[in-house]
Amino acid sequence: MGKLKYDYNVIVIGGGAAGTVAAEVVARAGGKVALIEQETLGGSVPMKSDIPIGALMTAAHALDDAHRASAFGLRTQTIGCNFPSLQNWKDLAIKRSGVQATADHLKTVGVETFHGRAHFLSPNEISIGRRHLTAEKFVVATGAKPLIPNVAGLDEADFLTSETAIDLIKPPKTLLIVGAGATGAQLAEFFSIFGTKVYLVDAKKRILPRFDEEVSELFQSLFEKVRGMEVLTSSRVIGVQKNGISTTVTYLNGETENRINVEKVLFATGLKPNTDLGLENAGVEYNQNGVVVDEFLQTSARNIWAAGNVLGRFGDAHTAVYDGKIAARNLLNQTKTPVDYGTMPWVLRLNPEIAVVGASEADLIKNAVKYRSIVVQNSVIARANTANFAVGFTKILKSHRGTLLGATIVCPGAGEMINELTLAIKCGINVAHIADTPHPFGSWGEIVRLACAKL
Amino acid sequence: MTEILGLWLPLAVAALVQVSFALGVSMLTLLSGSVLSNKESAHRLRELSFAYIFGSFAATLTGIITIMYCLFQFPYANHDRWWSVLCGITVGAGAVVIMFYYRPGKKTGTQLWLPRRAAEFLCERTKKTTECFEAFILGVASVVLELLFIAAPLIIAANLIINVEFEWQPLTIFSYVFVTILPLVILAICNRRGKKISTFQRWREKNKKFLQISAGTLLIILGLYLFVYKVWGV
Amino acid sequence: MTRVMGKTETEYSSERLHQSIARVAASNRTPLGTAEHFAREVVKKIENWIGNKSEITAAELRLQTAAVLADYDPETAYLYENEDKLF
Repeated sequence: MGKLKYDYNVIVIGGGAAGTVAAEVVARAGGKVALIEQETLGGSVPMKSDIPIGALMTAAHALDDAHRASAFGLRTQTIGCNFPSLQNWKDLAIKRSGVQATADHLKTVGVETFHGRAHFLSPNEISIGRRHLTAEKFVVATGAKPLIPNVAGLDEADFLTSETAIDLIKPPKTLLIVGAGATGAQLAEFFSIFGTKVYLVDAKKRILPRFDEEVSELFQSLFEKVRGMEVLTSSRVIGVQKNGISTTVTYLNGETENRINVEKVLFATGLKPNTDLGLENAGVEYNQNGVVVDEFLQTSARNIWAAGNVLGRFGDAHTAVYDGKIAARNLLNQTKTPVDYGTMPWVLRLNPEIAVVGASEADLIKNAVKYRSIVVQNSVIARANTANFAVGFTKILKSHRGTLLGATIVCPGAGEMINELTLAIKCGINVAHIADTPHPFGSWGEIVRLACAKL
Repeated sequence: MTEILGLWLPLAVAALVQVSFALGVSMLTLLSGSVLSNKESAHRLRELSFAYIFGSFAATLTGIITIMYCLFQFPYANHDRWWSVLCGITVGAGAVVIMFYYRPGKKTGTQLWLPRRAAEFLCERTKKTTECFEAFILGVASVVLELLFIAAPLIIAANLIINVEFEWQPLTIFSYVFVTILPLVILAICNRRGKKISTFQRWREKNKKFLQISAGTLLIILGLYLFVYKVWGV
Repeated sequence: MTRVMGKTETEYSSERLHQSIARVAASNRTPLGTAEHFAREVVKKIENWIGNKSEITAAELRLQTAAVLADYDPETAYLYENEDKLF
């Protein structure tokens, strides 16, 4: 990188998954890099989302599996849970994620870290407190925080978010979760396993709207019949009111107004990108959905790139890492790489797990792409029998030429199984080749081969 | 018919072009807003608006009469070469208006070509105006500052008016100058009737591109038209 | 204290912000009482937005104020945002 007329070649704002990766890539290329983080290095992934929720879901599923194990002749009726110990387990998982060591690692690769809130003063200058730093280029990777909708009464009533709900030291007796997307569904399942009566409310017509309809139908049925939840779709929360130790939630279902009294209310209504850092001063265009970038993750300010959840795409940690790498590479090189999310898998840790990759059926219909699809229930494979777990399916979408376009797996271990299909999409592999590839008998993976074969 | 095509039509076009230039209107808008924010009476607003409009009127009138006087002394005022030069300048001015009159960018309101420091000074000066004399000088300044753009239509108008019969010249001059200050008069009337400044300003911002392109295009067409009419004699 | 960086550097003052909002509202013929009420509400929200920021620019303070003011009086908010863009 060239001779410096600024303090740094690159300043990365945000020390989460995207920011740390971007900083490391630039530092390894020989640039003088600074990384600014307001809270804890590592960002929300190890502290507030993937790691803690993953750890808690593991514990919840272990309890769930234990309860089901009575069918195998095991005496599991007395299995219970010490909820505060669950918090210890969660904290251990966070500690073991290595977030503490991030700062040391960054120092080793030559990234200078600053703690504080960065604020743009001009396209090449930021302030952190009263300190001013300048750089030739910037990467904005400030992530996102829980979005709280504009509901009457929230000023006075207590409510939980996905970040505060995981810190509870005892499960509430009743819980109303607003938002039946990925996070809402996960937390709903978690609390219901630990005995909470959960009301899952969403304004949309189905839960888990980002997935295909079959997924929504299956999980709505599971939540209602197995978990004992009340799922209220097409319902919009219009008010909350504190009532002593409980909260009264008012919601609209069509024209009908209803009220529920619950102990706690949790808002899982999505994320709001953290764009309050003076982006106007830098000439960076943004809106309520996040920072506006082109396919190379470059913003409207030619010297500023953006990566991760601040873009409003809200993927997993690996999406943020991918973004960080692309943004860093593009700001270093003349020839630029466009982002391609077509082969980005997405996993949701419910029981059973959901994993998707590629295009959804709705996308293909919207883009008028010719396709063929098949849905095969897990019950057809041997593993469903031996594991006594037949819930779930695999859906494959293929093009008229036979290449894989998209896949949804609902199955224990779906997060591991999806990698094969991700590779297939990335390499343009024909579905017939997957069907011809031996998959071990008695494994969950067999469902993938069977689904491809039936197509 | 010859008179209409050779005199009144280009004169009307020149007046229309001059009307669409924005500095005078912007300054009066700011002045009005400043007077209202200082909680001055409606009478005071009227006085200052009138002083400002009178300043613009006087400056434009002085300008056109001065040019006419110079042209009377100039032996080649109706010569082909002189018209060629004038038409060239007009076409050039049209191109400059289309390219530079308003500042480019999405959130620039009705910012003009003026250097930012000059614009800021003018803005501060306008806000501090409390006396009629100051408002009058501001009116004069608004015309002087835009001479770069209004010179072409003004010279063309003067060059056309010197060919009008002597007894009709004063009326023609006053009519021309009145048309050029018409937007100011309309703004002052709207203010008097209690219209909000923001309504007018929104309209200006929404239509600035249209006004810019039409002013520039009209200038180019005027230049070409006069070249064909006066120089080629078609 | 939050510093406001503009042509000159000044400390943020809620009183000055209140007056600037009220002034622009008055220039747009908003009744005095209404202008004062809007200015009070907007200043409260702006102070929430400023939070613990140590430095902001005058331009972004203007933009943010206009955005908040737009919920109360869109016409005045437009004028507030474009006051320095008339010419």
